[in-house]
Order: sequence, then structure tokens, then C-alpha cells
Amino acid sequence: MRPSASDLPPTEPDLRRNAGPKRLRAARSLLPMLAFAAFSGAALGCPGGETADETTADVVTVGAIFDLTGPTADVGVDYAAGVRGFADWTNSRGGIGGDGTEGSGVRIDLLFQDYGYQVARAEQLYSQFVGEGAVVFMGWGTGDTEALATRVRDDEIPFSSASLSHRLGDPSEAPYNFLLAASYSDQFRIALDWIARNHDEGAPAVALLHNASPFGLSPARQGGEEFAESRGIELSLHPMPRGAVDFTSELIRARQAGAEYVIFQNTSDPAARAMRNARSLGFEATFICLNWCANRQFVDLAGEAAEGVMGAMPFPPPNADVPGTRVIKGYLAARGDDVEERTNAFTQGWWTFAVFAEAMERVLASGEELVGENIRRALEGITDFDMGGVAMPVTFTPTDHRGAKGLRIYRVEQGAWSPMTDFLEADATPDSEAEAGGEVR
Amino acid sequence: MDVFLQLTLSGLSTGMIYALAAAGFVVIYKASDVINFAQGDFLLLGTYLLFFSVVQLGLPTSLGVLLTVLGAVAAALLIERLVLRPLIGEPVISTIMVTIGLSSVLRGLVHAVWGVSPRSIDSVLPTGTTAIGPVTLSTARLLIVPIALAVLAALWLFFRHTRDGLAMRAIADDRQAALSLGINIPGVFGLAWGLAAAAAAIGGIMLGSIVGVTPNVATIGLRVFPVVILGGLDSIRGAVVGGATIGLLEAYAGGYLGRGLNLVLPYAVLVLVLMLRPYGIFGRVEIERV
Repeated sequence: MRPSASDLPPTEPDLRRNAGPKRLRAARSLLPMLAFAAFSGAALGCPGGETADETTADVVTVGAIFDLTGPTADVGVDYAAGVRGFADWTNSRGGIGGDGTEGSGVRIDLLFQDYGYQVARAEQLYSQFVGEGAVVFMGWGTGDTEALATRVRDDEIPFSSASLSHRLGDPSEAPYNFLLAASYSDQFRIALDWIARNHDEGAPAVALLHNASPFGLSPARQGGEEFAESRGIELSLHPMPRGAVDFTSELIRARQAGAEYVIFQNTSDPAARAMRNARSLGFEATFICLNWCANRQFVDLAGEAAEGVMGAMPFPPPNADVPGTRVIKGYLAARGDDVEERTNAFTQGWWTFAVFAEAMERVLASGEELVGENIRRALEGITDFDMGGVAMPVTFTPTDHRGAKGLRIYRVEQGAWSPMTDFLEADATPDSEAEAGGEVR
Repeated sequence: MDVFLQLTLSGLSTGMIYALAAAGFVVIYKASDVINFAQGDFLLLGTYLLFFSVVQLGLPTSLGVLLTVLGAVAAALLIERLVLRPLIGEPVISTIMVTIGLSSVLRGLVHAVWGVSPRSIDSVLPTGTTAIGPVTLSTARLLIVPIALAVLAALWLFFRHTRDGLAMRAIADDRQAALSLGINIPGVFGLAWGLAAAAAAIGGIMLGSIVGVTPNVATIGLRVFPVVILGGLDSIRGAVVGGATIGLLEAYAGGYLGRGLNLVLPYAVLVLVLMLRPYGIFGRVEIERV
């Protein structure tokens, strides 16, 4: 089902489930866990822990974990809102395959909880939700998604995460994982390619300041280092420790390494902090954010320090004027939400789920059972799926689960991200420097 | 040389914020022998109260700062009165366990009220940079050091030269004897919590200026432990020396060694200090003759 600009805004979402003896039993079993979560402050504002009906002809159960309180919550909250928003919007139109009337499609029963960016908690919630009948899973972090990949394969649960770790798009390694946007490695290579083509003279020196985690290392360790070497780029890596008050030390090391370009692979909060530190140090370099800090929040937090920063942005913010964001605007307006308060993480969450919903709709249309194996096959049959211009069209094949390999490069101009280029792909080889630099659109 | 200077300033300013949080820790320990695991969360509370005052209420910065400190003190007094005071006379371990729970509750309340998304706020301290010779330094960070030192000096003088400070030391030394001399123990405990919260709130205000308003501020509180272990659990001077030492170690390790060692080194130092000087550099050595 493809949302369009003419779609009506939804009514109030209804994610409640039918009560029954089974629900009560499961609820009792969850009480200790809920008590612990409430005590630790990790589940505030999260209605997780409800039980699910198993997937039936009328309902499809989808599991999800979000970081709503952990170290990546600065972007996790908006991503979660996007995923939940799409589920609400779909249900308000009758469900997957619905025609806009109640009960005309298969309702999405979204089970979700905050996992605080803790791998062990992710594994526990995954088991719980799959046990409750989830046939599709929307995950979050790189570490947990990579840790779960084997179980996801064994359970045959199509899994998409906000993590864009390159190896998760390789069906030989992770046959049930799907990437909806350019992988971290592709983002990094596109940024490096842009640098190599636009650098004046000599070998460009690039510093990657990254989150001290698998997510942070992913761009360099999964092909980025080799790509830099092949382009004659001097690359240095600098972990940004979690919980650091500032990143002066890391920036000084990057500057001592001769970095003329600094690429951030981190979320908006620490990246913005580092950006302010960099300006205080008088560090003259070109700064580039990969997708989790290329957002409005980064600009808000960094203030004037954000001016001139570039961003590799697979998804635009919801206030961008393309068909794929108009439906989001309509949804938010109907709820009384301010679209200006939302970031591109919302767009990414919404459209990630939308592509999975498209696969489920295809399964239903073919008369097959809505189970993981069939949904995976349907996903692998998706070719040039248009997301209304928010990102490159998505294509999956049985040998390639990296749906989109391109992105636009943006730059902060007068406090707002402005597109510098059209979509660039990791393996793109523009003919001219001007084309590589891209026309402002 | 310029790298060394920049790292030194970064380390000192961060260290002074640690020292402020650690000083609150010391004040409570000196008065009641309680190790307050929620001390770092008062930094978080201070940061968010500043956001509430200046951004949400729209107060001028000076009034916002005052309201933040008063709000943190009021919260601490309330906590002491409702949660800690009933535990007077109970084993110290019970009180410690309560402070661990309190840490989670405070953090959870901040998340519940203000959410987890970082917020932007105009810096209370002057923004921009200051050039000292060939070195460019953050003006806010330059100012943090004297401000924190002034607050810490005031706390030190309070303990040394006021009746209430003396009463706190007396209670810490021998609670029974202090009680027999008519010292108002509940009142002194309340005062200790109030002072600790005020110091942490000032630290939180400064953190808000250089780090921003973010739930990650709470993790900074964890660095209080190596600071107080190094300086001594019952020494304000120790908090200053410990804060500066840990802050500088972090900065130099990050700048000269890298690899994320700046967050590991303080804990390595903590282990080393515990092995060599279990009472810290300025901590009181207790000798029991048997």
C-alpha cells in the first residue's frame, strides 16, 4: 500500500488488543519485568508489555525495539515515532491492503518496548515478541541487530533495523535482514568520494570521529578503510567515548593527524557537542555528518557551530516538499503535531515500515500465508519501489538486501539543511568535478 | 605547547565540574557517613531546572540560575525529609541502598517530565573564544575554573569556620556524643543535603552551558567516584585535587594516547589509589587500637 498526498488523515490510533484469558496470563507473567523496568526508569512513557494476538487473517503482529531512554535516544525517539506513526496511519485506513474502511485490511498489531540500547535486553524482547506471534521485526542498533542476525535467520523473521551496517545487507550473512537506505559504509564511501573529487591538491586527510561501538566503527571496518586507501585518502579513526563531557582531546588528535576533513559517525547530541568544541579550538576543517547526526536536532544543539557542516542524508526531514513526506505531514497535522519538530529519523522510521508493509500487502494479494518466509520472498521481489522521492527507489534481490545505495549531500546554510547534490551512489563515478560537487537543487 | 594548554584547560574545567559534584558527595558523607549514589543525578536535575527556568518559564538568566539552585535545594530537602530522615539510626547500608534507588527515581523523573531528547539552551556563560598567545580557548571553559573554585572555597570555609560546619563534623565524628551535646541532627542532615544539591546544581548549570541539556549528563556523575576516592571521602580539598587530577588525566590520555583511554584511566587510578592509600590523598585515616 503506497501512501499518497491525497490520503485522508487518520483517526485516533487504536492499538489495543482484545482482552481475554490468554492476555491475562501473559500480563501476569510480564509483571515482574514491568516492575523492574519502571524501577530502572527505562520504560517511562512506553506502553510495552501488552500481549498480542498471534497473527491471524485479520491481524499481523510486528515486533519492535526502540531506544527511547538510552545513549542513542536523541534520534531513537523520533525514529520510533515514525514506525509507530506508520502503523497508526495504516490501521486508520483499514490495515495492510485496506481500502480506507474499517476491517478492510489486515490490522498491524505493533508490539514495542524501549530497550535502552542494551544488547541483552534486545535479545530478551526479541524472544518475547516472536513468542507472542511477531512475523516481522523492526529493530534499532547495530550491535544488537548483528547479535540477533543468526536467530532472525533461524526464526525466519524478516528484520529491518535503523542500523545500516553494511554486512546486514548481505543475504549470505544475514538472509532475513534488510537495509532500507545506504549502508554506513556506502554513506562513508560517498562522502570520501566527494572529498577525493573536490579536494584541491595532494592527498586529503580525513578523520572519522565515531561512536565507540560497532555502529561507530561500521563505516570504516566494512569497506571504508579499503576505499579510502584506493582513493589515496589518509584516514585516521578517533573513538568518541560515551559519556564524555567534551571531545576536545579527540579533536586535537584529529588535528594533529593533519585532518582537513572530519566525518562524524555518531548521533546528533555528541556530534553537536564535538562541533562546538571544534569551533572553540579554532579547528579549520570541513565537517561532515553521516545520517544519524545530519538532522535538525544537530543544528539546534550546535547552534552557530553547525553553519557550513555537510551531511550525508539518505532520508530528508518530514518538512521537505516531496510526495513521500506529504502523507507524513497530513498524518502529523491530523494529530496536532508540529512537523517542524520532527527530524529525518521520523521519515526513516515511517518509510522503513512502509516498505515492509508493501511486502506484506504483496503476500496477501498473492493469497499466501502472512509468515516470515513469504514476506522475505516478497521483499526480495521489490524492484524500484518509489518512496515518493524521500530516498532512492528501493530494490531487493535474493542476493542483495541493500535496498537503496544512494543519498543526497546537504549543507547547513543559515541554520537549515540545504541539498547540495542530487542522489549520489557509492559506486557512482560522476564525469566531472562539477557533477560530483552536485548542483544545488 | 598549544595542544598542552588546550588539553589542560579542557581537563581543568571538566575536573572542576567533577569537583563540584564530588564536594556535595563529601558534604553528605562528612555529616552523615552516607555515600550518596544519587549525587550525579543532582547535576542532571540542575541542568534541567535551568532549562525549565530559562527556556520554559522564560526567566532572565540570573533569575533562572537562582531558581535552579533554590529548586535543587528544595528537592534535596524534600528527599532528605521524606526518604532519608526516617532512616536515621538504621544501618548505613540501608541508606546507601536508598540513594541507589533514588538515583534511578531522579533520572526517571527527569525523563518523564522533560523527555530524553537533548534540548538547546542559551549558554549562561559567555560563548565564543579567547585567544591566549597562539592558543584559542573556550571562554566558558576559562570561566568555569574560577567560578567552581569560588564555590568550593566557600564550602571549605563553611566547614572550617561556621557553627553548622562544626556541627556536621561533630556528627560525623561521633553521632552519640553530638546528640548528647544537643546538636540538631535532623537539621544538620537537611543542611548537608541542601548544600550538596546547591553545589551539584551549580555544576549542572555550568554543564548546561558547555555540554547542553541532555540526559547523558547523568553519566558524568559516575566520574564522581574516582574523584572522591582519590581525594578522600571527607575532604573538600580532596575533591578539588581529585577533580582536577581526574579531569587532567582524562584530557591528557585522550589527547596523547587516544583509543578511548580517557574514560578508562580514571578507574585505573581509582584501583591504584585504593591499593596504596585507601583513605585517599586527604582522607582521614582511622586507626583502631585493639
